[in-house]
Amino acid sequence: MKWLTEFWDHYRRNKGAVLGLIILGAIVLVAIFADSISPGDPMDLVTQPFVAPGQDAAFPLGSDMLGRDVLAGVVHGARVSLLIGLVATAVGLLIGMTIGALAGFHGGRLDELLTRLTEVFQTIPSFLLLIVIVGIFQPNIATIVLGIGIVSWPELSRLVRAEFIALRSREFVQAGVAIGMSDVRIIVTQILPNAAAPIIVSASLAVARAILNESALAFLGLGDPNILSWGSMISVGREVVRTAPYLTALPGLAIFITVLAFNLVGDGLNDALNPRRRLR
Amino acid sequence: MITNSGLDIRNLTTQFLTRKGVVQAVTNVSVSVRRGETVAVVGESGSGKSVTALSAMRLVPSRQSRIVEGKVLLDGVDLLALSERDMRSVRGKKLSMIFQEPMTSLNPVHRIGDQIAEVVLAHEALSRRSAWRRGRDLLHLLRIPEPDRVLDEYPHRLSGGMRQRVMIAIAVAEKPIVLIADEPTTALDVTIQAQIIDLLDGLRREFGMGLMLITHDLGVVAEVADRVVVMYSGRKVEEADVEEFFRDPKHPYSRGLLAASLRVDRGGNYREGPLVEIPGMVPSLLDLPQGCPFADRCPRVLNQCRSEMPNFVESGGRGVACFVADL
Amino acid sequence: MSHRYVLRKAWQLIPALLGILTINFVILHLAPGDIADVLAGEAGAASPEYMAQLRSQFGLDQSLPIQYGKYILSVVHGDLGYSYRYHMPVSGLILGHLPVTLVLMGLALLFAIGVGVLLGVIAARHVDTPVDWFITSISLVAYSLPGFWLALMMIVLFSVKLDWLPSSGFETIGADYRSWFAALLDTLRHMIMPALSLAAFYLAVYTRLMRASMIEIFEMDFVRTARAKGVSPSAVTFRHVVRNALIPVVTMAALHIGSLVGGAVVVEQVFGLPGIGTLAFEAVFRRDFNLVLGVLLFSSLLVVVVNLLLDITYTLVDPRIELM
Repeated sequence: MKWLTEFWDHYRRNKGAVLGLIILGAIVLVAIFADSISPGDPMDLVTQPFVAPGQDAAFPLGSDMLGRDVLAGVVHGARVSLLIGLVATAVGLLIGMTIGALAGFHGGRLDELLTRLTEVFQTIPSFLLLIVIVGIFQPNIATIVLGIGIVSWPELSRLVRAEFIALRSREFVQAGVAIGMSDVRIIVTQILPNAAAPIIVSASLAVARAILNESALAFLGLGDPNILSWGSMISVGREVVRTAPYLTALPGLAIFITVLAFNLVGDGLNDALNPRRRLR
Repeated sequence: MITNSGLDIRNLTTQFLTRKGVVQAVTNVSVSVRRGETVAVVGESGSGKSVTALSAMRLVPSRQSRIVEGKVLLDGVDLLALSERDMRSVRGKKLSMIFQEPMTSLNPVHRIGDQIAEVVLAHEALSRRSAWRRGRDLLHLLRIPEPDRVLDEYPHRLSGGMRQRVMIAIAVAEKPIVLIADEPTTALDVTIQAQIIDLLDGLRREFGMGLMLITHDLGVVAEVADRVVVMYSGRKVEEADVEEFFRDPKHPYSRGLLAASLRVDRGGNYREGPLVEIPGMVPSLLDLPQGCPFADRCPRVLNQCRSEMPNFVESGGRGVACFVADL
Repeated sequence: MSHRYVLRKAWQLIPALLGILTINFVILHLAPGDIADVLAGEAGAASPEYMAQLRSQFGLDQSLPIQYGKYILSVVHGDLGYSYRYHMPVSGLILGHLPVTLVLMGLALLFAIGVGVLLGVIAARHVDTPVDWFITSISLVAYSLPGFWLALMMIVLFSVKLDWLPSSGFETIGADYRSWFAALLDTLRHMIMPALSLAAFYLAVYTRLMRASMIEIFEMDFVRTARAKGVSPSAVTFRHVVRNALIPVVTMAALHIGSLVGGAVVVEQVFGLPGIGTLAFEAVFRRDFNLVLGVLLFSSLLVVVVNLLLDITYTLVDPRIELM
């Protein structure tokens, strides 16, 4: 486990990265304990409409035009955003890594074909495609997660492919081939551990983008209608932005802080894991 | 001959500030190059020869390094005392330098013509056309065929040898008092190396400029140098006229170098026999021993060598820093 | 540069274009329900005969390969279908809404590149000083902001509180400007917040990229050569370092065109701009499939064209890349 302490030493040096980790930790805790912090359904009408933040101690962030607790919305929204962000990125990673690994490892015609496929998906404007997919197949958690996964896999697959190409000609991989290891074993035991670092960095940044995508979808009204997320709160609050700007400001702040945290952590991981690729 | 003509580096000491501490890359080094003469500065990598040259040009990175002591006189003017602005009018005009890596020393997005014109325009008030014409003349002087075509080209279209010629053209465009060539042929093909050295020698004669040739190739030293300066671990350890140096090297390190090279004397007479090596490694500049830095590798080392630093003693144009050597 | 080169590059695009068309087609036919269902649903109930008649009218009763072939053929002829909501050809609709989006994207890109490069240069010149930290922090913030939220916050500040800028629309309705200059000013007043909201993210990317690029290039040998020539520091910075550091920024910007279109959708929604983003968005809600896919196809084409143009002119950006 020595590499863990070594890694932490490097990571610690970047104060922003440490801050990001702390914020992320706080958000995760909030998401996990959402029911304790704000028990009940955040969509319940619990008080007067338009209670201003700080006006009532029971509702520190105020209430919206229907009398829903804003704090409850923010706290439960954390769950939604984190969940969707992580799962969607996982989907994207799954697809991206599979395609990238196949293309990078085998090369030749397969690589050409898969690269063309990746190019096609990268040419189509991703957010537009996302709207189309979610819009046409009806917005719900499944389509949203799958949709975000579908628009995020190309970038991940490019990275994985590049890593595989670089690594497959290294001696330890060739040694594995020479002693007759199966392809899958080589990939899993030899290549992946070495490619892990940039993939993890990429994944962290991908989660940030996934959260932005999800909130944009919800804002446009293409979120799951049964779920309250930060984006939908902003969409709802938008109608009274002139009179009650806090209804859009607060959930948006939550999105911003979460995305910022993931970006800080991603940058920190990059600095710590790839000293030669420092963004110095 | 005017005694203050040419480049006169005196007691130069340059330090680098690294994360692990202060490194003194050059300690109390004095080298002078008069107009018309070729001085070879010889040593392994890490000996401080490049840093000496860069210090003279004041091209050492200002944030991580400082010139702690010394003077660099060019025709009597101390360059280290000049403002940065005045120094800029010296660089490229009165004192020029060419570097080891011609493949990366030219800007990839500018044409050759513009890159030569740049040095001319930096020091003379000419039109761009006149500057380009000067470029053509220079390419001609450097025996580059089809100079007009080359002027229009981008660096990546030229070979290493050609690029180095362009670099030389840029360096001599303003007819400097002294040209410093830092290992100009190390990165080039053996067949091209001789051509480049010949060119440099010819230009020296034609312009009457001083040439400070930094190299680790003793064959080149034998061919073109008038005097030799040997550096080790940031210090000057020997200095002599070339013929005397090859005939009778005084410092054990110099002897080791000569023994280790295949060709020894002028005229290229081969010396038969097994390859000789100097055992051991150059000491890390972060961890210098107290006495003579060569002590650990020296075949004639005394106890005194390990505890005391030998001073550079000179007489009659020869100098050596060694307790064992006798002048 | 030869015509043959351009032709060859264009030829290489055909598989990609075909791929895009295929994906479009796949989405269209995977969608639950087709046009006939939608129309019938709106009309109330519909008899099977009516549905069959509608289907045949739209060519939906033919086999898939035939439909695919017809689709490709019509697209090649510039026929993107007919929007049954607007009762207009799709291509006409798109072209009509295109200028607004192009202005938005253009302004955003201009701002992002212009200011991004500038900030990157400043940060690189003052590495590891408070100036650098400040710029790097701002970039990180801009990179993490949701564009639509930034847009809304700007509206709160500049439209609601300060009343300096209009909060929606592309131009003031009913205003009749004598001079083109006044009209231009009016457009700018309407577009400044949308363009800034769209630009923020990319501004951050280019700032970081430019900064990293410059730091790397400062260490390169040819910069040392320039200094050894006695060239002034500003000339070294701009003629040598910036000129080379711009190359990756330009390359990256071209890759962002598709992403910008996506961003434009959201921004157009917030500011009520009649661009193709709004067109696509409403089409999705109203299940106007032809229009949706038409916009998708068109914007993909836009990306392809921009990249092609960049490819052809790339040698101007980086002479090491030669056209063969």
